[in-house]
Amino acid sequence: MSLFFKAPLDIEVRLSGEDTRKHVEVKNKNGRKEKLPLYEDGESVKGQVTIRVKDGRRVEHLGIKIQLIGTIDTNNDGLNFDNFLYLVQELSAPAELNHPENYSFEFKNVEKQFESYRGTNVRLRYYLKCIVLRKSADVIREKELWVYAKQNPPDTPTTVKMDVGIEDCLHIEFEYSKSRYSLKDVIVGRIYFLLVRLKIKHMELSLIRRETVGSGANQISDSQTLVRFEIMDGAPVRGETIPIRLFLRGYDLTPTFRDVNKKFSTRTFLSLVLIDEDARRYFKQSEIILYRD
Amino acid sequence: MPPSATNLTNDEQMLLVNESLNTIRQQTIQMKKLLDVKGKSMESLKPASTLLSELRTSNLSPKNYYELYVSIYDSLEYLGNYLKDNYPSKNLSNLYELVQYAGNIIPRLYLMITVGTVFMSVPDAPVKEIMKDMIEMCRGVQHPIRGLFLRYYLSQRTKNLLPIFNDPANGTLQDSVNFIITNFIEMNKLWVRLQHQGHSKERKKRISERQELQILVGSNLVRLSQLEGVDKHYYKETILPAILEQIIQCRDMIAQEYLFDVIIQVFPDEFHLYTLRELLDSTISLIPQVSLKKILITLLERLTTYIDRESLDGIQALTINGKTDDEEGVEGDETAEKTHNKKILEKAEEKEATVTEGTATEESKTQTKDENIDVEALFNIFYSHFIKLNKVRPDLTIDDITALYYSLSKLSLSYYPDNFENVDLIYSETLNRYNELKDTVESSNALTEENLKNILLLPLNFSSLVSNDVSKKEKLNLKLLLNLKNYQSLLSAQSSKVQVSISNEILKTLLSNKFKLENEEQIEKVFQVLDSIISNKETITVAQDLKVEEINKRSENAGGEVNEYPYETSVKQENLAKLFHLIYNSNPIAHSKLLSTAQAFVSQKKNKLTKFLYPSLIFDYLKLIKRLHFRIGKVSQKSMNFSPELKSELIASYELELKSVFQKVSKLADELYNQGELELSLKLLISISETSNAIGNNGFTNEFFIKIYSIYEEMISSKQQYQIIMQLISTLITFYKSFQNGTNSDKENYDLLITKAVLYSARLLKKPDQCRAVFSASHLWFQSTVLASTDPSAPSTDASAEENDNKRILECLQKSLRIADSCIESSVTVELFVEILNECIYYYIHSNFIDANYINNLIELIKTNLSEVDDLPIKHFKRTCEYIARQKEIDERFQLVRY
Repeated sequence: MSLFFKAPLDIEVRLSGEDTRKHVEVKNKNGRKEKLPLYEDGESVKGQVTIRVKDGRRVEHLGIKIQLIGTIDTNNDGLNFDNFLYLVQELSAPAELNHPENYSFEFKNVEKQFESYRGTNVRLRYYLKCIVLRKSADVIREKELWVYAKQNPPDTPTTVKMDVGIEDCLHIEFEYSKSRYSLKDVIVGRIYFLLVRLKIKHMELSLIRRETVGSGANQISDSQTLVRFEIMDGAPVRGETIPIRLFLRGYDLTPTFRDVNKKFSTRTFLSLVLIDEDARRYFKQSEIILYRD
Repeated sequence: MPPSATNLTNDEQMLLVNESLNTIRQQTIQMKKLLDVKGKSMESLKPASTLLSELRTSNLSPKNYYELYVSIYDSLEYLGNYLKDNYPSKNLSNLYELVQYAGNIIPRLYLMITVGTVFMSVPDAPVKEIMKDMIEMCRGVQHPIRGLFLRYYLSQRTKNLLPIFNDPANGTLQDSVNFIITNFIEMNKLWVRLQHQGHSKERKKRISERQELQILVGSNLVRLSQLEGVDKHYYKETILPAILEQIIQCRDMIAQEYLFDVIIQVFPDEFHLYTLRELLDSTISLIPQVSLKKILITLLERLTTYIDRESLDGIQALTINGKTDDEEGVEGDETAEKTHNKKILEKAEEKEATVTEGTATEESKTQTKDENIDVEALFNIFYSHFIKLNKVRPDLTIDDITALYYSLSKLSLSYYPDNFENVDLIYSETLNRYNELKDTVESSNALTEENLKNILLLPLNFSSLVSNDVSKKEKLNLKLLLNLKNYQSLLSAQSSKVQVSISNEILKTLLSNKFKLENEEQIEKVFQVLDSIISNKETITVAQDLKVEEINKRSENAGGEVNEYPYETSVKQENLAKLFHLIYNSNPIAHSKLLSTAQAFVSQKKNKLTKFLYPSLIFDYLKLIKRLHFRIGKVSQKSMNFSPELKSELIASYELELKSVFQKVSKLADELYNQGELELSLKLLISISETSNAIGNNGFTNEFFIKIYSIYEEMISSKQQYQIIMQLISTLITFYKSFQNGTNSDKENYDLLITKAVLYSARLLKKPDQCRAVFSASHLWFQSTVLASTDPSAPSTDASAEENDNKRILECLQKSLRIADSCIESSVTVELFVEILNECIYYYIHSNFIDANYINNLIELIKTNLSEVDDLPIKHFKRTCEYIARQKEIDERFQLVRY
């Protein structure tokens, strides 16, 4: 639309203190990185909208408003939008503009219960939408925000111990310090080799994010390996203990989301993979709970 | 893909190595560049990680892998130094975390260690935790070669950073020790594991690979030994048990042998002395394939040389000689103490009480010396350990056992040079073991033989072991020999070949040192030891060898004379014969006794050797006779300090001895004669008679000559006879003077002797021999004339006697002319004529009973026969004529001679 009709107005949305606000780097659809201002749950969103008229023309409008929208876009069953947050403020009654005009806005203590997320088949986003209503086409300007939803640790930490193996072939026992980790945490653990008849070449740890969208017949899942981390080189013998230490802070991980607005979930699995000399892979996955603190 | 390197050939590997080295070089350049750009230093970790990825290869042998390692070590060192100098130390812990994001474990750990060690080096770093963390994380590498190198890197980088002070916050010495020991244990496990991976047919290759890698494992022990602040108690309590446990547990031959060797080599001697029991006990738990011999000998040798090194350092606690030189002050005390210590050594029984005292004083002075208790017990510890070994390790072969005992005896001699009981104990034990294991294969192999030889040669080599002092050398070795009660039995248990070679060795040493045998004990021992050559054991074996040779050589030797003894053997007999010359005592009578003792040893054997030995013995006796004679002369001359009784007593005893020696000598000659050695016996008798003549005993001389004649008459070979006759004539000539000075009966005896000689001359078989003997014999009557002309004081013989003698001479000449004439070949005749002519000329010059006519006739006679003869006599004649011509110029009497 704007290709054919150049909008006669420029809308600029500026957040107050934007320069000093913390930004988050996220990849957009094209794989480019963009920086988005970071908000937390309950934080007010305020700022200023500046509208400039182009070429000194005079523009009539039917009113100006700004919306704060939280939405979940899914594409499991055709493109789908579901707003879980919708706030709006009138900035101006219908009037005529012939010079730049500033309008302040403020959404006070907005509840942002979900964390922003960009996945394969689903995204959850927050954005400001400023609309100048006109008889002809409205002029719209959007500005995306990024939200971190801090959580309390979901439960008390327990160590995870597992005993796995292939009969008469391999028997290992592994142990992680806990089942849930904050995103800044370190996974620490160890692996005991109780029986080794495989010719193991190396062993790695990977973190896999599984995103599930929808429910029932329409549900689709997508797994993505976010981290691959070699923890052992060569073949151990019986009785060896291999230490595990994986810093999480440096990776782009997503907290565990369960049924966000009944739309989607993201879970993270820790996978221990043994690769033998014939490149066969033996693995054991276990879910870990990630949370943001 | 096999876990250990690789089926690639070395060339293929070299290609890979070069490729990798290129990558490493490029990435290093990149890394250095980034380090220099401000704010980008963190990006330099990326090329660092890339270059480290080269170490992930599985395709290289340890040697080639090491090349990469070295190159990478340099790069990482650069990185480390840069970080140390430029990186804010408060951020190092973040950096330590940051490098752990590397996805691959090898680069991650190398970087971690690089940063970790930089971190350790800054003040107030949590050293202890970093150490713990690094060593723990290294477990992630289970690949033997890569793991070994990684841990070696850890060890190298932490080398100077390990805490040695007891600062609980930042780590204690204990932490450092644990750190190194843990690393050692893990490395050893990896190293041993290498052996068990891959195909069994590549076993050899793996062994060599492991040997290439051994130094990496051993470096940990070196590091431990370099830690400051470790004393021997700590070593005993903490370090050694941990190391030994691992070594024993790994049950791997290469590892056990190598690591024991390293332990012995790298830790100080004091530690070994202090922990000797533990160390020895642990050897019992090693797997049977391990060569205990190697390990124990290394230990023994280390401790043996310790005493030398110590004395070089001047901390002589246990000195070899307890000389109490008059040193002053502190040094004096020290020497006193040395003597004290030495006493302790000697008094084996009363050890306990005195030792503590000795140690106490020692400790106060040099702290390094307080292990004296162990030094005292050193031998016993080893010895009882060996005894124990016999029980628990019956699989030990005799060659190993003997090697061990050899080393132990060296040790004993170094530490307790004056304690012969130890060595004796070893000898008896060696003998026992040898007898027990006699029937095993090893008992007769070259190694065992060599070891036993070494043990038996200890008395010879030991002096060089203990001290470089040449003067002491001789005393020590015989003393040792004399004090070893079991020496003889061990020696006689050996094969005759070994016995002979040992005896020869000892003999050679005795001779080359000109060692004097001064008492009977020594002689007995020496002769016992040399029994094998004296009783001619060798010739038996040699003879067997010879048979084979003879068969080969028969064709060559068919015609020739077969020598009974090969050249080499006779050289050895010669040495044995020389042995008699070593016997010496300043008292001639005692000397004589010693010689008899020695003689007894030889005579017992009654073998053919006497032929070689008796001559030498006889000459020693003869020498002794001269000494006795000289003594008598001396005593009777200037004997102011002797009372007359004593004097005569002395002389009488000497005279008596002299007589008995002559008897012995003549008995010896008789024995030879009885053995059929006529010529030898005869020649010896000539020498004996010369001696008796020299001391003026005409009676003896006469008798000996009668003996000579009687032997002579039995001789058959004319060649020998002729030579002997000539010898007799010349001997008799020298006797002339003493017989003429003697009694009338002496003169008569002499006449008898010379007449007999002429008689024998005329009875020779061959005409030329007869002729020559006769004209030579003519000189027997010429002595008076010669003496008269040369020595004015010579007794004037009355004219008639002289005339008588001259007649005899002429008779002889006439007779020889007749004999010459009767020869059939004219050349021989003429030659003999010329020779007679020469005799005549001699007489013509020296006296005047031959006139010129006689000579002229002879010349005429020769000239007439000259035409029929060949060159030789002609030339001889010409020379004679030339001589006459020259004589004409100086002696006018010759004018009468025509030719």
